[in-house]
Amino acid sequence: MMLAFLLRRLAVGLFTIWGVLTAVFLVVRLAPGDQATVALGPDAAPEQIAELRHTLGLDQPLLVQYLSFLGDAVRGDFGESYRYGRPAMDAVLERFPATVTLTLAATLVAVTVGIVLGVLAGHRPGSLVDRATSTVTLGLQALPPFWVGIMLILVLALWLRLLPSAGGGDLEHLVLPAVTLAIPFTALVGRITRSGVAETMSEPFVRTARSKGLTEREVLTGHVLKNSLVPVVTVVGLQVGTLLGGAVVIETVFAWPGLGNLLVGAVGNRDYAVVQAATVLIAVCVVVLNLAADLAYARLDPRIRLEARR
Amino acid sequence: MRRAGSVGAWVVHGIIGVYVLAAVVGPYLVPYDPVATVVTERLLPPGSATAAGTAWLGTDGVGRDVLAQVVHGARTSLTIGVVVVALCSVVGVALGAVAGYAGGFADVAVARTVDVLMAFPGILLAIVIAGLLDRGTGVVIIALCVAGWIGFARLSRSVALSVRERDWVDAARIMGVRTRVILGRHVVPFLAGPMVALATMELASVVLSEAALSFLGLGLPPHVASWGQSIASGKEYLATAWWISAFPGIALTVLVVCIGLVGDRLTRRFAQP
Repeated sequence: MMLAFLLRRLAVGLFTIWGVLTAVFLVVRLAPGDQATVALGPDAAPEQIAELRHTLGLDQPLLVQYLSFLGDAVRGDFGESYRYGRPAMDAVLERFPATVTLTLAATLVAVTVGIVLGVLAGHRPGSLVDRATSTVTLGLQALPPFWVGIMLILVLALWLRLLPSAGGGDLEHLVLPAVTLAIPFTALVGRITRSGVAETMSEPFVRTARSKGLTEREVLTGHVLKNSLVPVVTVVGLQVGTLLGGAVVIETVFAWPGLGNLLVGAVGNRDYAVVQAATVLIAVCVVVLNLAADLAYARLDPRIRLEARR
Repeated sequence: MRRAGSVGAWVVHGIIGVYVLAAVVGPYLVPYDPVATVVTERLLPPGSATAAGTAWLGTDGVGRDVLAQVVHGARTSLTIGVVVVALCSVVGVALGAVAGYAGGFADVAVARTVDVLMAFPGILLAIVIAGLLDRGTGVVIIALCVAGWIGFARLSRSVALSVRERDWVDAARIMGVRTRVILGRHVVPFLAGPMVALATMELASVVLSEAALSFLGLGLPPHVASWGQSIASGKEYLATAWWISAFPGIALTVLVVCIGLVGDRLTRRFAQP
């Protein structure tokens, strides 16, 4: 039964990747100026363009192009990047680790701070701490990340000279983009932890734990936290898409040498091969991590397994 | 606390009112010419005197007034936000209500499309679409709509699913009322409350996405005043003229936070049981 659940999720995932492939293919075909025109520049002779178009298969009927695009995509081949002069997927994979580092760092910050905030707020629902935290998290969730990033550069990098403003590589450069990316996510984790903790606090086993003389700290860490973290795990997995989308914008603000920076540049330069490769790689990441979140959820909460069985 | 809460609500609504006012009449009071450059008045700090009067929020890298950019940007942001939310809600409610009420193939088609779009970050889709197609207001609106309608479709689908089984819908069906009329008269009205809440939240996120697109230089064309572009144009002068990025960003942040607060209140009020 678990297998059926898994297979269904897998099918939805594959369908999603196919949908993204199709969407990207269509957008590129709708864009003014095809691959050949863009690669050769405005001064190219019409014969040259026609020749390259023939080499790239752009003179074929749309359906033939689509099928060969899908076939190549399955093998991870998205064609040559005209700007980098090498396979687009190579260029994309080279930038990928930087994006993984950034998103992982942001997730770490968001989960740590978010859970602490959530426990503080949810411990006593309706208290002053709870109401203050709710207001703050609501505000944080609405902040425009790219502008917050610029203001952090202004204050911490330019005025106080504590951290470098842009670039990538070491830990110093990671701090500002990771914190910026983490802000809305921290608020989200905080809100979810809060409602989970608040709900668990009214469970009978909490009363039992208290009445057997455990300290409030022991009750929280030993009994409440474990039971309220299930939704947090799922949300972390399901928000991967949002996080990667945010990373695309944040990387541009901080000139972080990741996938997003590459993608925005490629969109601006009409480097179609790189746009396609980067978009599809992000889609695959999102699908895989969503699947992992589903599985973790079913693993952590037996009730979900039972529901899937029905 | 009730009193404090309602005072807060008044303040928030008041601030949104100021924005709407600025968007509607502001451009007539504060003229702004996006192509006019005055080299002698570059990078003036807030409060400086210029030939056109006092630049209360300073001037940017080519001598344009920052206050005027903020005011004209309010009009751009709110116009695009309202248009996108209106289009998305019409399309989303129609598709969702039909899918939920009719079931079968229509439902599967809509549900699968929603799955695909849900899994993929909307801002990324907007970046690719708006970036690759010709720059223009219409393209930005389409790019933001592509992912914007799914929330509405999901909501109206779930409401339609639950309303479909009610007795009065059965009664209407038995009496031979046409499906279109049942949908319009017996299903859609139940959507009003949650839909207003969702539309408010969606407005905040559309305003934010539009600003992000324009910030990346992939959104509105350069001759349209927008907060995102102003913030981006100030980035290179951050060390010498912080006000170019700061003020449009504050305008954007305050608006989005206020809309978000209203949306949160509405969501709690119309929360589906």
